Amino acid sequence: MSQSGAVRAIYTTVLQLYLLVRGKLSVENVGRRLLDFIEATGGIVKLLFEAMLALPRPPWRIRLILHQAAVAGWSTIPLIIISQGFLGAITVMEISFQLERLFHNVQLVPGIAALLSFREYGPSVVAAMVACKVGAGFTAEIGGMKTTDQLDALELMGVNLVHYLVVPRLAACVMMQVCLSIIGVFCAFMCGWLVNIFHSNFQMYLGTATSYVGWPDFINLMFKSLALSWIVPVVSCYYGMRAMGGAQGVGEATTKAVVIEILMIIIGDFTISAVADRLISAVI
Amino acid sequence: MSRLGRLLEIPFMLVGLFFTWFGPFLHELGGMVLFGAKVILHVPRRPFEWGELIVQLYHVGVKSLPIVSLAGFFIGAVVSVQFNYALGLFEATQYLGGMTTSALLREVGPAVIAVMIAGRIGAFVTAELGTMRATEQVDAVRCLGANAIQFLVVPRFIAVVFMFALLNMLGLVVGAIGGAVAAWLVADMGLSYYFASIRSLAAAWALFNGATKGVIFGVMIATICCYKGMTSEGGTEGVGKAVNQSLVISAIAVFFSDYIMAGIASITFEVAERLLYFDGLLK
Repeated sequence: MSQSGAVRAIYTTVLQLYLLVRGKLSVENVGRRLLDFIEATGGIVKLLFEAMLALPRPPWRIRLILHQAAVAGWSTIPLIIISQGFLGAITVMEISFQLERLFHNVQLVPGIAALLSFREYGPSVVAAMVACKVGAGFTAEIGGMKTTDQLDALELMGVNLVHYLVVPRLAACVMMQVCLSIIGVFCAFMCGWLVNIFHSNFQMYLGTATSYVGWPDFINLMFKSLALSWIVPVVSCYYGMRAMGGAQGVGEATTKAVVIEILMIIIGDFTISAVADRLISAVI
Repeated sequence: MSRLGRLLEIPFMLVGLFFTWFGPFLHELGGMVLFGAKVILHVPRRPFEWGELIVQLYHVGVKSLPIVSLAGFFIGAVVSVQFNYALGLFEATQYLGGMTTSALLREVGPAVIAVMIAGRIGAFVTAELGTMRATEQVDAVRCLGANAIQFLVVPRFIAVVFMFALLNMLGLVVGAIGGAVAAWLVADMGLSYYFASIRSLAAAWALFNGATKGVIFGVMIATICCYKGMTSEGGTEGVGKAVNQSLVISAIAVFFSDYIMAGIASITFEVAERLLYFDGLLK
């Protein structure tokens, strides 16, 4: 009896799924998806430009900016330290393992590890961590305000929403993310040394690393994290301000915002690292 | 005397501080482990919720396909571009394919895909369970005499673990292709030149390593997200907080266990390689 019930349940759900998939692939649905994509892209870019235009406008809300900086920067430091520390340790471990197989030589390990952490993990993984910690919080906060009609109340009071909500978050995130990247790279570097402690003392580690990493890489790190830092506040605020349908809508908006942020960070990271070298070699 | 007393107080204060920071952490950790054990014990129990399981598999797996393949492609491309630069410093770009594919299959792919999927699936599961709890649907299920864990958590747990393993493999394969494409287009390297070094450097053992990581990350993320969803408190605001916390804890857990597994892998690698290749088991 229970066996036939299970079979029937499977049959009905498979049928439902088939109908669902067929509906998903219809022309109408694909077109709607495309329109949604274009609308979201346009909305995010528009919000970014509005926020950048509103940034230098007079009522500078220093207190709000400092509050958001505490939320986005100070409370994210433990997460950054832990994740970047483990990442630095993993990098050194893996690269020494690989180089031992390739060249039978582990002296270059700190150089490659520091290079990778400066050029790659420093900006992009810190941005992804900030998206997980801060972006989800921003979307939930603004989405909660939207579903309880607080945004409409603000607008009725004559407050510019972009200026009041987005600009402090954007300014705080842009400032804090550069600082967090530098802290993260430092942590990755030190934890890498802790793993490499049997192969080199700190003098050797630092010497090998600094012979491969220099000021250009540091500037690369700063500019890359600067270029990736607008994504988290703008996308979070965009999806938070469009959240609909109560608590469930806020949850959906949060999920969507975090996923799109991480995706944009990965794609932007690839674009920057593919273009940067060409650009530098073209300029020099 | 009083100064000495104050000095003597310092170690006790430090111990107290340690426990005020560490106590909640241990509490959470123990709660998660007990919850995970309970869920795993509930998995083989009858009746199985087949319909719910299939719906969850669809929601968790099929809907994440485009995101995971896009992210995997670009992760592979990024690794390839960066290794091209790093190996170029040593004039060793002939090893680019092997190094990229090996690093991708072992480390970068599983970890970044895990963070990505934690953002996509984990937040979804936490938000759904948390909303159910905030609107007292969990209590309603319990009142109706059903086991809430068996009815609500087990299908999601199985779906996340199973689909995570599959999506991880998909991401790794797409990432390997992405690395090759980036080496071809960005680094101007011939594809045959790229693929030549893969076979000697990235063996089946690397893929096995990545797949194992996928399974372990899946179990951890499923446990964390279901636990955070089922224990969220404070109404709808608590749901947002729970989602945020589950994302952060998942990321920390992924990096921590990645570190431990990388250590185990680098220790056991030689033994495994000797067993698999030189003793002729996989030749």
